[in-house]
Amino acid sequence: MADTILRSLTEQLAGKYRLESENGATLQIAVDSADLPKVVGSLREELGARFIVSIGADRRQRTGNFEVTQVMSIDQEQSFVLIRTAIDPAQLAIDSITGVIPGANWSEREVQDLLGIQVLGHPDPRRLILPDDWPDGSYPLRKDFKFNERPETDGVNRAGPLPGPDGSMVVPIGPFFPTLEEPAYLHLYVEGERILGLDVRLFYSHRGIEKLGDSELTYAQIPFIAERICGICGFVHSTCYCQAIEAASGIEVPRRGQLIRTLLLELERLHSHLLWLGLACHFIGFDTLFMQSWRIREPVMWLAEYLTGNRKTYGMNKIGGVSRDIPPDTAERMATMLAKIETEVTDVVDAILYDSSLRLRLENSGILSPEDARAYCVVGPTARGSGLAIDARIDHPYAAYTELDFEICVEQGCDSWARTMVRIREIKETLKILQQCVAMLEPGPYCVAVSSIDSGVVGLSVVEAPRGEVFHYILSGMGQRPDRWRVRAPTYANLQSIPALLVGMSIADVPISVGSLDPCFACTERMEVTDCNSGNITIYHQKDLLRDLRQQG
Amino acid sequence: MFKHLISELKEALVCLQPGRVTLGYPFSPHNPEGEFRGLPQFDCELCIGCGACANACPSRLITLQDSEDYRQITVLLTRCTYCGRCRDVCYMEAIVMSPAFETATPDLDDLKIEIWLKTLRCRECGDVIGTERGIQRASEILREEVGIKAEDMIWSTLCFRCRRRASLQTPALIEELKYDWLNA
Repeated sequence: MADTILRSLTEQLAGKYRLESENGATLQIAVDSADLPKVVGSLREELGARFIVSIGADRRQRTGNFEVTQVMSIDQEQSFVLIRTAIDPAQLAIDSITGVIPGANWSEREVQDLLGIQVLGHPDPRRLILPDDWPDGSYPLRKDFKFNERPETDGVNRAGPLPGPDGSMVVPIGPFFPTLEEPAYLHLYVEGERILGLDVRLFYSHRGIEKLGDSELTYAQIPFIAERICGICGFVHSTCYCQAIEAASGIEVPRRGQLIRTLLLELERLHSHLLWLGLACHFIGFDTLFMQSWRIREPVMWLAEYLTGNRKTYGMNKIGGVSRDIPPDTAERMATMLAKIETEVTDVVDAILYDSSLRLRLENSGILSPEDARAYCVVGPTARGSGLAIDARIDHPYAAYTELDFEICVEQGCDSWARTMVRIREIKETLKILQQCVAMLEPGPYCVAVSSIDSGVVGLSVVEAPRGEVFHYILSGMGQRPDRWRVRAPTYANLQSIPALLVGMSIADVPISVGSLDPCFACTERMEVTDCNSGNITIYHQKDLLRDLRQQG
Repeated sequence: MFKHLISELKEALVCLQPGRVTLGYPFSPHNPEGEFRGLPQFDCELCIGCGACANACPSRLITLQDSEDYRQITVLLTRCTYCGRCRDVCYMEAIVMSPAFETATPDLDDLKIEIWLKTLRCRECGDVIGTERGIQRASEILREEVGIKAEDMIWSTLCFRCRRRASLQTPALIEELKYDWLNA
């Protein structure tokens, strides 16, 4: 695999890169900053490489330099290329690749925000993650910045929205996005009902769990915080993190462990897609389907609770496998439930397929052309709805997916309806996968003991979350914690395509178009949400509360 | 148009078929089934204060504090994620994950568990060696499972620093310990 890549690299880019290591499907090369756009560009053009993320790291204690790593995936070869650029602390600048790959926009701004590495030639070098009044010269991901440091804000308002077209009106949506109930701010430039341009401001709730991972937590503790990155698809994050560690240290997870992971991942996809179907209908005011879809979803949550002891399958993953076995009667329980869900989903889909009001709302709204989809490097159902056959389960097989028979659901429509159809078809594929998983379950060990992990090793992993590909990167460090842990949630890639999605649409299409990406701001911003409602003045104690909650009147 | 009409009729059917699905909770209690993990419960009679749970807790909610004569184990369940790691590592099986999930309360003490265990001090330097129960349990294991000789149990009254000092530098202390043990 890596041979082909190496050979074509040698032809195209002789002298522009140095081979650092070649480990199975992962190729690491070092490239100078000035050659970076050229190398990345020709990898994309010649080899069809897909950009995943840029990772900045402070490696001054080890190598004396900062480091920026561009991660690209060559899906046909099932391999990754890591392009490393060492940054001299005296220079602190790197050439931008956003001109070549628009999808690298946020990644590069993040490197600039959190490490203070200036990105030269970036089309939009405004702040992305740090608050507007965060003082200059204070970079949270540097090693000399304490995890709990709180610098004084300087009161300067740095970011302003991008200038809009002449003569347009501004319609602000947010900072609390009305239909998603999550913090996001859209600054729309409109003429009448038509959207001419827009600016997005996000990362209101960035909490810096990557910093926590490389300064406070240990390898064994991180899965518990990783699974709380997302409130819906938490299991994908802990699986992806564990797989990255397992890849770095060569741990083989036993087959039953792999199958349990696969089963829970697919259960998560099932309930997430049903949740999305309900929400999407709620966005356009079709609350009947919202209720019905969530009704069908609820037994999946109960099953997850029965199998893992927790409704959200939390606390299940650990490095080396899963932390407990699933009950012996899993197969019987699941067989009845899967059959019931299958009929119910078929009934609902059958009912809505020719609902003309639904189709009128969804068809031709939020159009993302295949070219734009490729440019913004979108993933998951968003990519598949625009005709790109990207699916991590097939492109980079993990867990037990190599043994399973399923198809990638691709639609050519490029609109919200196409993305809906992708998810509806995936629900059926997921049911198929679950049935196969249950049939393959055999008694056996479900996890292996893990010894310590060497420092300086790179491990990476992708998992196909319901929203698209999740990517975790580990650079192991001293003291049983990573030197750098990078999480790229699918929405991080998908949300960058919003400008392409909305320009030319009408304002009424905004909620459903954005919603059709199934965005998850919590994932993108890597945080935990704590809801603090103001308390009642009467003091209740636990037993009073229980009594009052259970009695009517 | 006709297709749309059929579609709407089917939608109505989908709504009618399941009937009432809302559960009685909170007006009737909800009992989770299977291996549901709710608030952990600590059996104070079994706990030996070894601190394995404190090491394992990813939320760092379990703390050990040695005071004059007691070891205080404090469990503050505020940020508990019900992961069950404490239960998994507990040697004494003193922790069970209860089905209790209703944890909303204005009083922090509702979520606080405190265990006080008497400590044993080194007879030479007075440092805390461990809890009485812990050392008793360790001695039992050493006697019954490892098969250590009864007179070697004299070492259990010293902290690890004094044990080292005694065996390397002050053999007289060993004799004294043996004498005390025989006459106890």
